[in-house]
Amino acid sequence: MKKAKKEMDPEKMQSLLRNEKAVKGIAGEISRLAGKHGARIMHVCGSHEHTATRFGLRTLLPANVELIAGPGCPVCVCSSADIRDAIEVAKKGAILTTFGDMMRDRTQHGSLEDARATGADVRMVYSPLDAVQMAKDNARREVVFFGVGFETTAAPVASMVSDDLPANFSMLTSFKLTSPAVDALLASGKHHLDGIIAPGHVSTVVGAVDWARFPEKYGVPAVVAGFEPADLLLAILKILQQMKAGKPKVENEYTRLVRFEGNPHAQEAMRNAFDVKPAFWRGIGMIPDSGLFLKERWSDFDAKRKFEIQSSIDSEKDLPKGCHCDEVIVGELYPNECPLFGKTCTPASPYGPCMVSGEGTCYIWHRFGDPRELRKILAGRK
Amino acid sequence: MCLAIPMKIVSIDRNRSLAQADALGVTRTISIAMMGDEVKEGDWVMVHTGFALEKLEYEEANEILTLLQEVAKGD
Amino acid sequence: MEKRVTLGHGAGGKLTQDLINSLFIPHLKNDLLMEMGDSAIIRKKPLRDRLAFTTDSFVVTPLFFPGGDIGKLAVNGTINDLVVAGAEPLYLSAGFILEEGLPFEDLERVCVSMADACNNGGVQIVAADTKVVEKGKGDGIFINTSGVGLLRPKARIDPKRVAPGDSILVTGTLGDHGISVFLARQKLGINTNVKSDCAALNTLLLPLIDKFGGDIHFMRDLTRGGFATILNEMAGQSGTSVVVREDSIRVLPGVVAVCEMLGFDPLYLANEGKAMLAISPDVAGKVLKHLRKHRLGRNAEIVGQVDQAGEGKARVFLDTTVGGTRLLDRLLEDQLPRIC
Repeated sequence: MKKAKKEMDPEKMQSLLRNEKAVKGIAGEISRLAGKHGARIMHVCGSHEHTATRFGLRTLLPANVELIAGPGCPVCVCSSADIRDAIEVAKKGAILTTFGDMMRDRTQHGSLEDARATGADVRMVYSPLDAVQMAKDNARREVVFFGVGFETTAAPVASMVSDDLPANFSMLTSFKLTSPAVDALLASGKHHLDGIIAPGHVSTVVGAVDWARFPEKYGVPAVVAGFEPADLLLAILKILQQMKAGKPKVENEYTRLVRFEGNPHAQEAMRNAFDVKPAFWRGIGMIPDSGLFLKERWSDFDAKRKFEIQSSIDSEKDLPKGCHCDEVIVGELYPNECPLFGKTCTPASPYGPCMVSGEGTCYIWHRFGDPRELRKILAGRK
Repeated sequence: MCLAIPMKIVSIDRNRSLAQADALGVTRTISIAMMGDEVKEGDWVMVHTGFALEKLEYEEANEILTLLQEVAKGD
Repeated sequence: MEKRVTLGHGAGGKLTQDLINSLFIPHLKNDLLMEMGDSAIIRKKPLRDRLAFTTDSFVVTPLFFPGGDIGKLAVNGTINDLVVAGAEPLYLSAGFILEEGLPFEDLERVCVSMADACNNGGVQIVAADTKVVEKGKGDGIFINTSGVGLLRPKARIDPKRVAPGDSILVTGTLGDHGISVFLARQKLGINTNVKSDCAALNTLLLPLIDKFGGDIHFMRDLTRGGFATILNEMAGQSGTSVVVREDSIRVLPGVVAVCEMLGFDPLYLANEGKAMLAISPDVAGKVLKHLRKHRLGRNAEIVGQVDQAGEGKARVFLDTTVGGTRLLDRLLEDQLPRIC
């Protein structure tokens, strides 16, 4: 053991965290602990959903341990007004740069990909660093970075904000904070949850400490988890253990990366760049203290000011008529219980936001299958 | 949310808070602006959108490693 | 809303299929076309079921990428379409649509590379055509190649012969071409040594046909839409389900790393020198051995098995490395990098 620890590197660590015996062993322990009562556990992270789906983890869990995908997809909760603003900026002649995810986020105002097809200069970047470099390389053009995401993405952008940014660079941001959204869900009293799997990479920034309010305020266990199959299952196991012990607390499964207090440099950068204010979440509505907005001090880099964009939210929940994404986002409705699912709403022609993004719950169910049915198929094969 | 990948720091440009990082032979320039001064060549960091979020510390993962190795060995 | 062609209609996935079904088939259908093979086998006498005919168009940005260029692609792509139908490629035609302003030097590089590919693949370009469009109305060079070949006497490639129990083989690592071209096009500041796998598959696959004949039920090159999409097409055409084991699929470390960085699934990335086969299980071991002896088949693997279609649904399942399972559906539209 001690020897293995010294030689550990990400590759070895990964192969252990994807070891079939280890994963099945933990799943077996989960089944034993879940007993008859089971558990409803919510994660709030597109990448956790990706791990669960890609590895077929739900087919290894007992039927009464539900892993619910909460509001963890920044593309799904990004308002159509934000997309409209970005399209408007691009149409005003700027080079609009953004992440690949955002290109196809389809709204009633179209998508950025549509805008590009009609001549707007929309470019995909891997990193906000590349957007800044593009501004330096195109001194005669305005370059705008459209940043969408949670703390993990907001902190890097914040770390770039300084007087050294080129004058022809500005930002449109739609950055949100994850724990206030989960808090709002629980505060509404409408949702019963037995545990929360806290997003590991968000927590590198905010720390496991940010999730302590859930055991304290609501008596709900919260476990920060990494993104390998065993990480996710260990987090579920820890929640079940806490439930059994009757002592809800915040735990950190992702100790190899996440510090309890988070990353002080990242937090400092965020305080320097952003103010925390109420923000609009598509399918949910306004949530207090859940958004990050560029500070007045940096208004020179605020694309909304620069391009004189008047923004306004489209409707109360910003959903098309008859759309049930609001219920899917909070885990109240399974996607295939929505009357539109697979009929008028498909990945090729999405109607609601949960079908738009690769991390949207409806999209995932449509493409990768209903875990309940898959579980039966897997059992039938043996 | 938040796709990230472990990368190994190959070289550092402290003045610009940039580093060259490598994952399985794939390289990219990343920012180490959120890493303070403690990060050094040879360290593994978790990289999201071209930024090092945090250092990977396997000594901190002892508990899980032990557990996994035991379970993986099986009954 | 008025329907318009989108980029997704060209990605080789579900949207492409929708376009074919809703527009091309109703107007152009005939018995040969409806077989939907990579090449049509022309049965008219005096050819006695032996003539294979195919066509393909090539648009790629950039024109030159690590491991190949549009010329090499255009020749090998058509060679491979004939080969996977069980035919020995013989003659190609080439149609060039050039954009005004294209440097001669680029065109010459493409020609040299086409000549090399023809030599390597044992084919000749025997008919050609050139058109030039105004600047802005093309993208440097578009190439269409058509090809004819003679069916090997023992070839019995037909998706309808795919049956439960058949073994699924893949001839090598997946995603090399897709990643190489994507990074060359998008300039994301990501450096790799990943190269396109662009290659002619005739020397790898035709000897198999001669040796194993009717035991080889289905072959396809894994181009647009990747392995996952083509498996789904096979399942649909043969009315079967397929179960694939994730741990048997080979992906180069560089491709794995880029996929992890950008959130891509290598099973949907294009390949230009890889094929999948559905063969009777009795010969699977021998075929695998045969493939691995060849330079282009070194990394061949048996990756799965054909199964009955449950409840009449032809579907593809992926058994994951940790023992779970999920559906593997066809590509919808080209993958874009994700941050979450």
